[in-house]
Amino acid sequence: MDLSKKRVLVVDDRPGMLSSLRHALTACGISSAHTVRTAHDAVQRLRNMRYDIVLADFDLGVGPDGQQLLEHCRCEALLAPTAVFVMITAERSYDRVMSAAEFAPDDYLVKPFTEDTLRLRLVRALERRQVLAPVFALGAQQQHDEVVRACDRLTVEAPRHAMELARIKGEALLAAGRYPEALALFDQMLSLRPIPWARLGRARAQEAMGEVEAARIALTELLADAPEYLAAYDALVQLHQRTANDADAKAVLRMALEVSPNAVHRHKIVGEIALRTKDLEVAEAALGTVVRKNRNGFVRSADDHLKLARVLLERNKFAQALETLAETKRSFGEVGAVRACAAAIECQVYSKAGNPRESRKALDEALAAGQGGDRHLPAETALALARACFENKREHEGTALAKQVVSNNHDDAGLLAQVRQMFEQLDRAEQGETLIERCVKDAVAINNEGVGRAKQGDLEGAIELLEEAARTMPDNAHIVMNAAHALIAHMQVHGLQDDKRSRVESYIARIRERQPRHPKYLQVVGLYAALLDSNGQAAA
Amino acid sequence: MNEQALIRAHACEAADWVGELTLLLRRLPGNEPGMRAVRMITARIADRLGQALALERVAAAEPGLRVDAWSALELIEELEHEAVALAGGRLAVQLAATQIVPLTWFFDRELVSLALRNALHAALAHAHAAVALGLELREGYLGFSVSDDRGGFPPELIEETPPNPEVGELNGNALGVHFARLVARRHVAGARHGRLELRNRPDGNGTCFTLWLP
Repeated sequence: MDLSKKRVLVVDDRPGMLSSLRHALTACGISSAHTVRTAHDAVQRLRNMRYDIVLADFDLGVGPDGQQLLEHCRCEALLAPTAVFVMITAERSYDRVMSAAEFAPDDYLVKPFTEDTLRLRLVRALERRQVLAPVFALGAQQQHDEVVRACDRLTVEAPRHAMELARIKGEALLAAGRYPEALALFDQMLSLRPIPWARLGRARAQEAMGEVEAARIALTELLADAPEYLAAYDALVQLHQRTANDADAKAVLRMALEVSPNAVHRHKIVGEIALRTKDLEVAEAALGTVVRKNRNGFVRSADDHLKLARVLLERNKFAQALETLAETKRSFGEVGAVRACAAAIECQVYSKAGNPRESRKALDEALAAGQGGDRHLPAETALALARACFENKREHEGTALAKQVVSNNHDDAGLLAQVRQMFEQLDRAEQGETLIERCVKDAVAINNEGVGRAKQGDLEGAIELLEEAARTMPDNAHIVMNAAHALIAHMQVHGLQDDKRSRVESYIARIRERQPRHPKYLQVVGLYAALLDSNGQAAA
Repeated sequence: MNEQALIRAHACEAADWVGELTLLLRRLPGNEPGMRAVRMITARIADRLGQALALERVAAAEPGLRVDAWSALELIEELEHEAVALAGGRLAVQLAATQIVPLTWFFDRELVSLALRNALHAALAHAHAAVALGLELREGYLGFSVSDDRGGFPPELIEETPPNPEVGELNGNALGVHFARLVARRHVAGARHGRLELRNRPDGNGTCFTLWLP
């Protein structure tokens, strides 16, 4: 394979290594190699240019590591399906790289390595990506049955990739809900060798088929044999969460955090479980860690700060809560919605601390900052604010906030129950029922109408309706992503248009910030990446 | 951080520097014996560091391997490229797959690579004119071999005796051989274990190191 035309981005925090890698790449025939020292700089580069190869060290000093960079690149569609990501690891970090099932790199190089090995690994990774690109593209669009068919076809055409295709096919069968077939496939693999990914896949299939105890035992045994296999911890945590076993989920998370203490998302899950189970001490510690570690991360989130402030409020740690809120305003204060949320919690802090004057002042600030269609108030905060409004006889604002919560979350039964409970506690049960019923009905009707228009080929009509709905229900992931979907469908037929691209990207960015795991979001991100790729463009 | 973790951190840091040095040496000009020796010594240091770190991992759990399906031919090709570069034209490097081998085989790529690389570097350091790498499938075992035309392995290395570091036996080739035997033994398929075979040519002018994996 000719590497001379390939564009490479090298990410390493050691200047000497960067220079050596650059020379090694030149010796491999690559003339276009850009170097950066941090994951943040890498993302900037990737947003502005299409690269064929990203060669990144796992350990990037302060800030996100190579694995976080890889996850960010794949989630944000910063890499084309044919582009490869090769991780350079030390022996100590290998497991953290290769056991991240969902986002494994295309290959890895354990230091020290020679430039011959580097060249051969890059060539093979590119060749493999080229062969498997159709499968990855279909996977990104969540077309799982198509992925299975493509894997079967490619296994015949490119038998050297048979094992990799079997792994992808197994994942696709699980995602498509074809559990008995997945189980049979993983069993077939396990008859060859007890490969960890096949053991994990088998356990997931078992759980999905209702054999929860067998799955739990299989995952526990897998972890005993491969204690650094992080994906197995995640699967076991999810199993415990699905069976409402928060205590065991927390215990498994603690073990995973011993293996990989920097994995912020696991600290976050610990915090969320602890919040749910009212284990406020653990919640405070976990969320405190998330806030501290994310100070230099990709996804520094105001939401984590606000959650921590809420925990501190519940623990009556008023001074610390106000301090966290002050930091939130300093760091994210330019965002009106964040200011609104912070002020809403401040309102509660002062109220609980017996300071009604400051509480009213904070309520005024929250309502003022919360005005405007682009302001995103998390449902929990909006609800707390609605309650404060009703308690302070501010009917109009309270009703608007409650409507906003229901319209943006019309399919979230748990949240609707919280809204109902709030109205009941305010002795306004009937008012609450009417409001919920009307808002849910409206959201469902608009969504169905928009999707119906698109199916009948009236893409312009669908766009108009769904974008209007996305404006009035800006946090409704279903509706916002359907608006983006309609725009993408329009561009698939009529070609790329700058204004439509920019709207799609703003919708994607909005839902990414709020519900990055929403299935409709993942589907739309995949569709958009495929659209850009077929037009030879990179995501902005 | 406990002492064990500190030792590991130091070794990893050293591996980082050796990695940088390896790439740096390749881009420096010169193929005279002195420069070839520097490159070879760096490769041997890299071997030992890699083995020390891998041994720590393997010692922590049984079997402690990361077995997956890999292409044995691709691994051997990587070693061939490295051997050609290190030989610097002094030796002939040959690649011999004696028959069609399976597209993939189950093994721990890093450990097998470390074991073979160590054997290869020893062969490159001592061979007179030629080094050969090979793959062979026999009775359900895949053999990865490194052979050369040096004098021969001493009998104490060929016989599998437990290492005894206290009497100073574990140095030089013995370290690499011990590592390779451990890697072979840890590769298990059902009731079958991997094994290391060390042979001398009957005429006393050559050695063959073969790692047989089930």
